[in-house]
Amino acid sequence: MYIIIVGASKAGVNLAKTLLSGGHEVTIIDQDKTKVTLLSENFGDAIMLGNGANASVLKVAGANRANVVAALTGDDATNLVICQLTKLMFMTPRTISRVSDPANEEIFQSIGVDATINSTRILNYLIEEQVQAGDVVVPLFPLKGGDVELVQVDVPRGSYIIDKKIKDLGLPEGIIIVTIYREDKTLIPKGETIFKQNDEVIAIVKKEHIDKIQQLFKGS
Amino acid sequence: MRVVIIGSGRLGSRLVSVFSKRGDSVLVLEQNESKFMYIEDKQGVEFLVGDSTDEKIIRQALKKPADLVLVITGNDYTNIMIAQKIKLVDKTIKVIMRLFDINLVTVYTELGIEVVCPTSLTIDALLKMPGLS
Repeated sequence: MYIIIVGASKAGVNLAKTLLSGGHEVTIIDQDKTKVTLLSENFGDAIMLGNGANASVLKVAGANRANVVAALTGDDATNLVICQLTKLMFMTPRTISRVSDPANEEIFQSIGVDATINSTRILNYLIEEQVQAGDVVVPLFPLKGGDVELVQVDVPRGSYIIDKKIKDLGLPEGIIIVTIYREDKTLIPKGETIFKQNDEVIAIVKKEHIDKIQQLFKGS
Repeated sequence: MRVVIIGSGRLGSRLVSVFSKRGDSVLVLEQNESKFMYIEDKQGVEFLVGDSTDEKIIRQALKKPADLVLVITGNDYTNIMIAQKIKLVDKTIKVIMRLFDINLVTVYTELGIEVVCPTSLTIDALLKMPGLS
């Protein structure tokens, strides 16, 4: 796939890294010259200087053959224009936008932006949910349908699961361990994988099993 | 006629005077209160201070039914956002926005929003000048 990312924010840069390592073609557009110069050391031709809400710039970036355009600048109005331009002028099949002000989500939906990412709402959600869940399980994202969540659980000191294999935990069907971040590496877990202290575990959990995962991971 | 003017910069503050002198009822919406200073003839003009991309403020500005809304802040992208939000609030209202970027004009005219483009107006005017035509 070819993905154009407008806005070399932290989110934009990290998304680009992930996509590039997944074998996708990526162009990041940003109008901050210093930023672009700095990033070009790592990204080479995949980063471009210019205003990503400008039709000529998008054309040079190859918007007419992009599968996805992600508008990730910090300004909602700019992101709106990027999505509309690419949809209408370049027939981009999929547009994704960052929306900073939750009140703006309606307008993005009304113009047909395929997905909006609202960091404020996600943060609010995290804060609200975290109060309920205590310190151990951090909900990352409710999945469609609502009764299943993507969560992050850290393995604290003295946790019961340290040095135990996944297969020996007797996890119920409603809990799937998706990845484990350990010392900057992402592990794809198998039944034989052993948990270590300070592991950051991402799991898909049915809501009714949140307590269960909480108890399992609890520290001393 | 009732006119709502969004953005009270050089153009906006002039237009306020032009319309109110003509006898129209005018409301001007501007985020930065100090900009009202530049309006010469303030008599009978309604002033509203607030973020014009905020739907609540838009609704407040349109409380009395307007015949025309001019969206003329200095930023194209902001104007585009505001104009479309107004259309969400009231589909039938006549909205004209200012866009400097000629490329954007075609896109938004096709979407049914009326646009005035100072860049193309300047080009037209220049081409009509002696020695250029």
